[in-house]
Amino acid sequence: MESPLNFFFDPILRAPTLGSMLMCLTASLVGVIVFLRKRSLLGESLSHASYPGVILGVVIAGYIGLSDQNEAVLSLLVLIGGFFSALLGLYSINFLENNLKIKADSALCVILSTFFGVGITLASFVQFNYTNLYRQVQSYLYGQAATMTDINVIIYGILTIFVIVTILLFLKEIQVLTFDRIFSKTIGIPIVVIDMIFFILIVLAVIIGIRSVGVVLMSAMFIAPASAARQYTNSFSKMFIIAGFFGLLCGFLGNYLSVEISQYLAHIYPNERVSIPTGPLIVLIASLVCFWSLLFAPRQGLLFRIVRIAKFKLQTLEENVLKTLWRRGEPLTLKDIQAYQNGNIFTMWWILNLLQKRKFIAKSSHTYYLTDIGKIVAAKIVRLHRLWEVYLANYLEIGVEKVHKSAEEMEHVLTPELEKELTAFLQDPVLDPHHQPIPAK
Amino acid sequence: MSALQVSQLSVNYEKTPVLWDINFAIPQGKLVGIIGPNGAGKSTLMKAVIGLITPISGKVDFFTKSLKQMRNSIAYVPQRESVDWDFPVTILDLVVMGSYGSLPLFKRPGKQEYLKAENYLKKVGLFELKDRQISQLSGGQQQRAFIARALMQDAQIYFLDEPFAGIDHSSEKIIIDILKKLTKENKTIFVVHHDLNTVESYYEWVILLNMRLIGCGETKEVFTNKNLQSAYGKNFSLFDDAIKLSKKISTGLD
Amino acid sequence: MQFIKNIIWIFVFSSLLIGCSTAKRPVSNNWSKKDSIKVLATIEMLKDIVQQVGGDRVEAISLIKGNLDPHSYQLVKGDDEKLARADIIFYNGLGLEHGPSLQSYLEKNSKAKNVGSFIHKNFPDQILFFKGQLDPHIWMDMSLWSKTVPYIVESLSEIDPVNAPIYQKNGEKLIESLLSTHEEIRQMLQEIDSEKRYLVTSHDAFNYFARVYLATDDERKTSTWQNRFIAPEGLAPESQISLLDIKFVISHLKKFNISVIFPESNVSKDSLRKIMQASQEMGLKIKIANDTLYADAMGDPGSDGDTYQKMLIHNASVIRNNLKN
Repeated sequence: MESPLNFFFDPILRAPTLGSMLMCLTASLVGVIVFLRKRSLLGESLSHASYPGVILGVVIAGYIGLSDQNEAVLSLLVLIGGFFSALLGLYSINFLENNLKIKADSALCVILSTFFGVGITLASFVQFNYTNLYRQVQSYLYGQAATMTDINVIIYGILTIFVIVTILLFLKEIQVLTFDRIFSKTIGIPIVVIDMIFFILIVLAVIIGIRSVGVVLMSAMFIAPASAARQYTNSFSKMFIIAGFFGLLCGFLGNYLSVEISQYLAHIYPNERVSIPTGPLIVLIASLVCFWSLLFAPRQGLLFRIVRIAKFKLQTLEENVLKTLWRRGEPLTLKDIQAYQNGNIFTMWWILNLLQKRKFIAKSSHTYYLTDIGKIVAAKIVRLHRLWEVYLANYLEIGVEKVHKSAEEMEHVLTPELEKELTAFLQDPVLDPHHQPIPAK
Repeated sequence: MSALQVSQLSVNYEKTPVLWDINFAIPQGKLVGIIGPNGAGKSTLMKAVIGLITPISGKVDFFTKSLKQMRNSIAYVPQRESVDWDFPVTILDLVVMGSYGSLPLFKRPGKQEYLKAENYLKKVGLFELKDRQISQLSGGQQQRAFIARALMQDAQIYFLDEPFAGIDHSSEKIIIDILKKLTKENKTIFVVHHDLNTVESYYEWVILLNMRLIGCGETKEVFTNKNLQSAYGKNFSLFDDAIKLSKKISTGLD
Repeated sequence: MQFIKNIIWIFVFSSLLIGCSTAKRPVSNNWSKKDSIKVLATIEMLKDIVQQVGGDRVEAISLIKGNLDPHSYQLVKGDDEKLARADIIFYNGLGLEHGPSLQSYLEKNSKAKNVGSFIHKNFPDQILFFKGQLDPHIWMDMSLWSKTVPYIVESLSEIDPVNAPIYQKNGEKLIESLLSTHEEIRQMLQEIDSEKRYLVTSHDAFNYFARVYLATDDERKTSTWQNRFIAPEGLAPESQISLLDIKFVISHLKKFNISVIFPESNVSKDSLRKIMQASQEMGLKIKIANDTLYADAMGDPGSDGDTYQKMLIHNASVIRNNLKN
């Protein structure tokens, strides 16, 4: 069992861990912009488009006889190759969209597959002619974090700082441009410049990242942290912070768990060769974080929404029961009440129990009746219902027969503020369209 | 000196004319309604005037200066569909964005800008909702927030594109009151308007269009039955049909 | 914007030109002699000995040429033709040729002879089995490789019974030569002191080599001979390298005081470089030998590893030169 701190200092673990964390940080920050611009497929297309450039970088290194000792130069050549290749892909995408009027998603897919296909073809060329370098090339498909060295970390560190500083400097321009492009144009934001900056940032993030998680999986690191972050905040700047945090977390956990799980599995299965590759694990963790956030984030998470919807439904059922008792004006049995509602006997019984607990109704020998408090609550519901009917019938000229259904829904929704407005607007009516009295406030 | 002077403005959409030889001049301090039937080019006129669309001919002057020179004195409120409502931004943040045009490149909005924004939110009656996400607002509230953003720009001339489309009555009342107050401060305001019933009570001046300028001037003089017949009536339907035919042929569709 | 576009196009075109101009097409090979048996071997090491057994009755060519990795090799254009035209095919088996297209062809074809499986059947305790997989690198032990010769003789005699006696004689001569070189190699490596005789390379190709040339008799009786060799990558150099494997190798280096690690001719040096850098930082004195070993591929024609025997001798001398004293 390694202590987590070791991952930052140990000579073997340090470079892959720090390199992965830097790369995930960059990708998640840029990913916020990609995500909000609703161009999520762009990350995927650009990472695939960078592949032929990566290979050309390797080929050039082989041609000038580099192959072995000059790791830094090799890394740089690969990065530069990937950078220009991705830029070319970007330019092609824009050309397809603007000049050939091809829709965005089609253009992205065409470029993605074409460039990637060219890349694979080049890769097989490399396989036959520069076999030693072929493994290098392959490692960029799915990433190979384990063999990163400090040189990689330094290069990525510099690029990451560049990305962070750029985003900070242009924060407000990026925000307004992404949110309301037309408005930005009218207030003189330099749109072309900001767009160009965005594209350069995304290409930089791609080429930093492909060493850790590879061309194929790169796009996940753009989108997953950003979508997760969106669930926790409504503030543009906070979204960057949360996404960045998730990025760092995934980068770290990917390395940490890859070692720990491999060790654990090696214990259990000593006769098997087990290895959990870092890159794919980072992406898996990012996906898990994203799913978790979508389901369980407070306020916006799916789970909470489901719970809130259920609560509302319950409230509706309760209020309907109270209404029924009020209208009938006499104690009713369980069966009577159930006849008026859509629900089975068990649900009714449970609701009646809840209402009893809240002291809105009371029970005496098999019948239920409204308590004083219950009467007030029920009157309020009926009032809202009938107010709404008056509004629909008199002011929106909706037929009297139709207003009831809408009011059945709206009576549970109208807030006290809206009630006040309605009362003022309708001048405190006394009768509803069915000529029934409206309970006083 | 006119607040806005437009000379011989023509705008095409691909090969088809949308606005044709538009000429008018508007004095300062007026609340002007731009009216005409659907497809008349009202939004196009506004977008061409503020530089979002490039006309094929014509000249536009603001107080005799060009758009570029006067950019910081002009505010534009676009139609609500142009915005991404899922974007993480509160109403307060939205209004603060109105100051971005006047802040230099690397400067962030500060306390001053936020206080100003809160002030304008109070003016449009949205101060209590300032920390709400924009997606949680009703149509009328969203429109009022946009007005507040435009007010942040401290402009001389305001352009509003269909601000009253699909909003509630009280929001509409609040907005028109603000606009009228602005004209008292000598601001000039242009509004693309679609509801003929309210033209006379809202606007002192109108620009009546249907691809060509039918009339421009004080409402009581331009907003006549004769002119309305010209704009909305049969006279132009032939023209309309011919234009549609031309559109079809030039795009190669059958 | 135009400027940037120009840069990009210049970059693209020049790289393509460079790529085309240095195209080293693998030596296009095919059978050229008439009236001889067309033999196809998957790897060069096999082709070498089959050719020696067949003599001038036989023309042997290999499928996987140059520095290509035999573990993951997949059929390319022209290969089916070779496979179809061959009179007989020899392959290593034991999971070496596991590229799906090649593997399925070999398994289904009756004229394909599996030398590894022959050894496995007749000398089962010689074959190594690690972590659920067979180790296919049997050519690294010359004495073991020589045991395939009778099978080659038998197979050739089957399709060419007329010349069986020639094959028999050639085979015997070859076995003698191989065993003599085998002894030579053993002597070379025994020149290294026992406590220095440890080998570290890129992938798990040298188990058989270590067992027969590096280990002592006692070690061979138990499984401790395995300490003589370690590598970060597994049996096939194509899987993801894990941090755990690197850690394991480094602790092995520490434990046995190893100071030299050996790169292979057709495998990337990434993992070795990482090991060297990390161990140097931990205070170990590690260097990468400046000559490569031949593991999964022989040397190019003209190099000192261009026959099977020269290949292993080269390995032995490089190891001895780097580890002795």
